[in-house]
Amino acid sequence: MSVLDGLRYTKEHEWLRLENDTAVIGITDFAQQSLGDITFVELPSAGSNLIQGETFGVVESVKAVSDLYAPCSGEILEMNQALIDSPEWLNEDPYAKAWMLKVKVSEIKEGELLSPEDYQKFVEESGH
Amino acid sequence: MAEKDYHSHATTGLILREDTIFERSSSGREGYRLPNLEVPEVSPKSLRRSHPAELPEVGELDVVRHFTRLSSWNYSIDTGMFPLGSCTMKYNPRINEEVAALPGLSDIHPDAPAEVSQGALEIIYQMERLLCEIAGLDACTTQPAAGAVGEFTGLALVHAFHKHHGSRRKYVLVPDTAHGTNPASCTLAGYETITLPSSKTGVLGVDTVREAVEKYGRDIAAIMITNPNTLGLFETNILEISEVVHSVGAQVYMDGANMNAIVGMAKPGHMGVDVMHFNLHKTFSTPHGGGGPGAGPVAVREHLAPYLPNPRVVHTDSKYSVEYLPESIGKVKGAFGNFGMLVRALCYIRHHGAEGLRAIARASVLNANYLKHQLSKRFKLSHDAPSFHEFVVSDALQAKVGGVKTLQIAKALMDRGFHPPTIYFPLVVPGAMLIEPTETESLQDLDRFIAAMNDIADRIESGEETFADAPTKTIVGKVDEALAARRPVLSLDDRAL
Amino acid sequence: MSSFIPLTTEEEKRILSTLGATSTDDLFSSIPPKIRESAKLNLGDMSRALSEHELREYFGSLASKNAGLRCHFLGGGTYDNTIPAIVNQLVLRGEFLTCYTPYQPEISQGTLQAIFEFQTMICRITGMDVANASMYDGATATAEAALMALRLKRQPKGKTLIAGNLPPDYKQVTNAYLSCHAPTPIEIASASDGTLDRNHLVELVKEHNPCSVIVAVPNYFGIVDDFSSLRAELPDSCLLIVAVPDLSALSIFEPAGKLGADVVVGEAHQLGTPMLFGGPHVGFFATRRDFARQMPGRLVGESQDARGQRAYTLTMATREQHIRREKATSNICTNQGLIALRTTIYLSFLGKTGFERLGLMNHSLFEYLRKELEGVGIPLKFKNSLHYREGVFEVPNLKARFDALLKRGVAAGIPLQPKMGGDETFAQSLLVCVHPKHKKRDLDTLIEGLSHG
Repeated sequence: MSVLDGLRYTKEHEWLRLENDTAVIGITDFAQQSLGDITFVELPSAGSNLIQGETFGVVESVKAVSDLYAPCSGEILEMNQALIDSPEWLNEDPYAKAWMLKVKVSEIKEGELLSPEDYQKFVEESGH
Repeated sequence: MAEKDYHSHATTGLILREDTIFERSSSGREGYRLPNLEVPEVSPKSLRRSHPAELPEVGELDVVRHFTRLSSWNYSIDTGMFPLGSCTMKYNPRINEEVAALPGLSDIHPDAPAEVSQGALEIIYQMERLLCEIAGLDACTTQPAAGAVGEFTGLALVHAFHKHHGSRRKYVLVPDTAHGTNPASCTLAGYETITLPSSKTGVLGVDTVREAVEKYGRDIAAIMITNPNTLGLFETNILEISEVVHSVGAQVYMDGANMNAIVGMAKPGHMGVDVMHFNLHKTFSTPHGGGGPGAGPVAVREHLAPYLPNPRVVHTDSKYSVEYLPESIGKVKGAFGNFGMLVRALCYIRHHGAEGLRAIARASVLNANYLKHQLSKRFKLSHDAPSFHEFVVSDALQAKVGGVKTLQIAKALMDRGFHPPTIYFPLVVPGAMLIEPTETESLQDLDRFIAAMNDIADRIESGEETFADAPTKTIVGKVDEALAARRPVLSLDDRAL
Repeated sequence: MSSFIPLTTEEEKRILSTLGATSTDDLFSSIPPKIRESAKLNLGDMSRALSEHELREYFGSLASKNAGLRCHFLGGGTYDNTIPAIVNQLVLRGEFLTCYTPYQPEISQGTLQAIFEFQTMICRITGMDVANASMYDGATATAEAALMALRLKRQPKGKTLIAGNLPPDYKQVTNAYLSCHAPTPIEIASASDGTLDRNHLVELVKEHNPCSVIVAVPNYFGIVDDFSSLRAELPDSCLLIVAVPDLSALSIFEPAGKLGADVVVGEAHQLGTPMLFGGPHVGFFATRRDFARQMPGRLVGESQDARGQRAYTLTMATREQHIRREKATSNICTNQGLIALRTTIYLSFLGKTGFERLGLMNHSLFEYLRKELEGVGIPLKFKNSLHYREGVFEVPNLKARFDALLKRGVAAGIPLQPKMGGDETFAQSLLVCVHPKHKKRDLDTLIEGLSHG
């Protein structure tokens, strides 16, 4: 399982990368491994708003379904349309090609996010 | 090698391939001949369909060969042992089919006047009466089309009862060992599910229920408990649990999917249960048919009877007729429900009589305990407690030694001539295999199944096989389910997309 | 012991000694004694086990109590038809009859491919993109369609409009399915010609902003309403659900899918399954491709196996109750597998031309009946409307004539007043339906019987 430096993580296994005041959002390598072959992604379109901690979409594998939780609040600038057509990218390249949303950040509650080290520890400790 | 293969009942034989029926089609070929039309043929004056629906154009032998070949690709109870836990895959007696096909029981219309439907109404009436006695409850409806409809119906009755008493309630308590459909049925009935964890011993603790009752009080509409539960264990605290639940005016719903284990040995009505459903395709042997039709009658205590679905079949002055309850929840299925399944179940009950029904429960529990005893020598048993008709083992030992998981064990069983158990359910046991042999398997077949499971365990332990490619003896190999979900081809016309 | 329990007394002893138990009763010791002690079944006159021969006699006598009719004109949602011998024979194959829901695709390809063929047939007949593996019946399929509309519009408490001229069972089941957690559907009135009252519909849509509008083709009065402009009259925020209580109607009438319906649901038992006193029947559920993930019930998809061969499997199961639990699209588990198989075999055998001929046959029989009854002063209640196979006739002295025919073994139809909640305007109304078994002399018996006495 890989955890990348320079990203922040949620306990629900989303990652967030800040580029100035824009956040790029996706799901972690651990998330894709536990789901198995991902078959479907549902994401909100550009223009709609995220609220940190609330659900914004769904990923599905053959026999599991998982809600996505926003790691920050803000307005969606761009949604990865190509990912909708190729959900298998989430298995192949969760941190790059399979990014989900680009968000113009209005607020990040840092206290609810984990550093790479803490996320690694969180995953190991929760017995996975 | 030859010695080990002794236990392997599946071999490859002559299996015939077959495209879809549409691909057999030949333009202009006609099959079935309808009766002659004895009046002038006329076509609708408007809204006429411009192009006929593209159905196949095939002859009688085409159809017979096509579907006969398809049938040969299915594994069924008639083929071999089918220990699919919680589904009760027992033998489906053929006398049931014969009587259900009698013209006087199949060619009858639900809106025919009651005076020419006395036999049909009598069947419904008698089935409801028999199920009441088996449940130890007061009234019954045979209208629900399946167990899931039964669950919804039962909860809708609870909803109507509370509403009638001016009480708006929000929650249904569901133990984590209940059937998987229960939460979805709660949603349909307008309730939120509160999941209750079972104790270490696999049954629901009274304290767990008491805590929930203290916390949610009169917001609780009901508890929905499967008994025996999906670990195959009897909920030993059921009497106390019922008392605690009743103390806040909530109702006790029992999912009766596992009645096969206790029919004639325990009555839900004597456990404090207010409402329950039966699955006629489980306890009373109506065929599963590749996924239906089923039937899910609901039995209730007297105080819920005024809300039962309409119409009700009644017997007065030695005549059967229907009547309508003013406070009924309405209808949960067209007409009288899956009447044809009631005929089969009634036939089964009458074939057994009172003592025979008891014998079903006893033999199913005996078989399950024997299988559990033998398999627990090689597979990790989930709970060391007295089992009823089914039990759970897991892949823990095989995963540790050879990295082989439940899914591979299931597929390896196919190559040995058996249908796999229910896998990855119940969710409370990781890598679960829920095994239910039923009472209709002989000791010899149980021993063959044990030998097949042991053979799989042997090969994993010796490192000989991981079964990554299993099954190999089936008409198709492992099916790519991810591809099916990513690029859905749901009809022939989707192939071109 | 019963002939279905193979265990011998000797074997029982052997198992008990393996388990270290002294009697089978020991295995039930975790049941509290109070419950165990009161478990004895009292089945009264049904306590005794019957032999196979006695069962034949018992059910034979029950069947004979239903045998009072030599001919009937009953429809209204359940329809009679001739059933080819091969349908009855093929569904009795144990591999179809006694298999389970095809969760294990490698050993269920027969059922899976047959369902795939069923889905294809339903799509082609209804003119929709996707169809599921079947529903319990037309009534529950209609209810599920209304629920799907609430999900799609993300309005759990959204409103539903339902045509008053749907079969009563369809309305009542939809009411029951919705009423516990959403508003009870609001009924759209019928116009004086038995069709949907379009003005009332417009008013209701404006007032309630519903998630869906449910209409019927043909409706309970046998009328084929012209809905070609209906979609355009509804706001985009509202789903158009068309219920088809008799799928055979779409053999000759323009498929609802072509008319812009978002969902087409209904009943298909009349294609290969006997009436069975109303069940088991088989519902179908078809919709647009973009709604597939909100559909209830099972879906079969085509895929490949590890050897690169074509193979079928259940798919998009994440919509379902066993995975999504309380957030599932429905609580439905089974479909009507074996009845859907009957439909598939029947439609294969009837074929493209036969299916059309079946529709024309029903239509022609009814048109003959209509003309002849009008000739003897028994008009259709809604005479200017287009009908398929059944219609409401105004019969003078209905009760006496109905009873006289019944004495002669003819059920003349369904008297409508009780079905319409006691509505006085239906006091003399009889819903009369034809089916392919009818000979000209059957129709003539009815005409003669309804016009005298």
